[in-house]
Amino acid sequence: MGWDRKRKGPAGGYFYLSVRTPAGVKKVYFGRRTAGHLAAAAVERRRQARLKVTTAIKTENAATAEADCLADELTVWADLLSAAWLTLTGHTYHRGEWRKPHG
Amino acid sequence: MGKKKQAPPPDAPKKKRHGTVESAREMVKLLTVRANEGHPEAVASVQKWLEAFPELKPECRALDELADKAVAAWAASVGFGDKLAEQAARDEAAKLKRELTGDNASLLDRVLASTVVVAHLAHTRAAVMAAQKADHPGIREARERVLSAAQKRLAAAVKAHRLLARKKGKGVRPKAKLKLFEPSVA
Repeated sequence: MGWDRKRKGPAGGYFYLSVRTPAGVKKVYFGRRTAGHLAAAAVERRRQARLKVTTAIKTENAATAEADCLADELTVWADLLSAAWLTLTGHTYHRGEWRKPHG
Repeated sequence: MGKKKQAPPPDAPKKKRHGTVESAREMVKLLTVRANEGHPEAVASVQKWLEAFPELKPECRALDELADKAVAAWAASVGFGDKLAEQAARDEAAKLKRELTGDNASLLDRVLASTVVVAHLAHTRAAVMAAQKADHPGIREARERVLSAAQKRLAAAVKAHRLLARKKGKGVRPKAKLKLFEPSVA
C-alpha cells in the first residue's frame, strides 16, 4: 500500500491500496494523478485518526499506571499469604479450588 | 571428604537467610506449590520458614504501607483531580475496609480487605470512564476492556476475602501460631 515507484515510471510513483476481500488481499490501482492523491490523503487521514485514538488510550492508561502497579503488587501478596494460610490449614489447591481433604 | 559435619553450638547465631522481599515471596511460593503437590514436609517447611524469619516483620508493616499507598493512589484516580471527590473516595475506602476487617484483624485479613477496597476503587474509576462520552469507538472499546478487567479483579478479590472469612468462621486455624499473620506491633 502506498506510492509504488516503478523502474521506468514517474519519480512520484503510482498509488496502490491493499484491500482485504474474501478471496484474499487485492492491490487496487489509483494511479498518479488526482485519484491517487485523494486516496493517499484519505489513507493519511485514517492513519492520523488511529494515532489520535491510540494516544488518547495511552494517556488514559498512563494516568493509572502507578496505581495499577501498586494494586498488582498487593494482589500478589494477598494471593501468596492466602495460599500459605490455606496450605498450613491442610487445604490443597485442586482444579481452581481450595479444598480440605476429609479424614 | 568423609568428615562428619559438626552441629553448631546451641548459642550460635542463626543461619543467615535471604532478606529481600522477592526471595521471601519466592520461597513461600515454592514451598506452597510443593505442599500442594502432596509433599507433607513442605507444609512443615513453610511453617518453620515463616516462624524463623524475623526479617518478615518489617515486611508486614511494609505490606500495610503498600496497601495504604495503593488505596491513596486509587482514591486520587477516582477523584480525577478534584480534592473533595478524592477525600470522599478515601472516606468510603476507609469505611469499606473497617466493615471488611472488623476489630483485631490479622495481617492477612487486612491485606485481603485492602485488595477488595483497591479493586472497588479501580472498578469505580473504570465505570466512570466507561460512562463518559467517547470521541471514537476505539476509545469506548478500550474503556470497556478496562472496565471488564476491573470487574474481574473485584470479583476475584471478593471471592478470596469471602473464602478466608468462611474458613475462619468455621473455626479453621493453622495448627501452630504463625508470627507472620500476627498483627504487626510497631
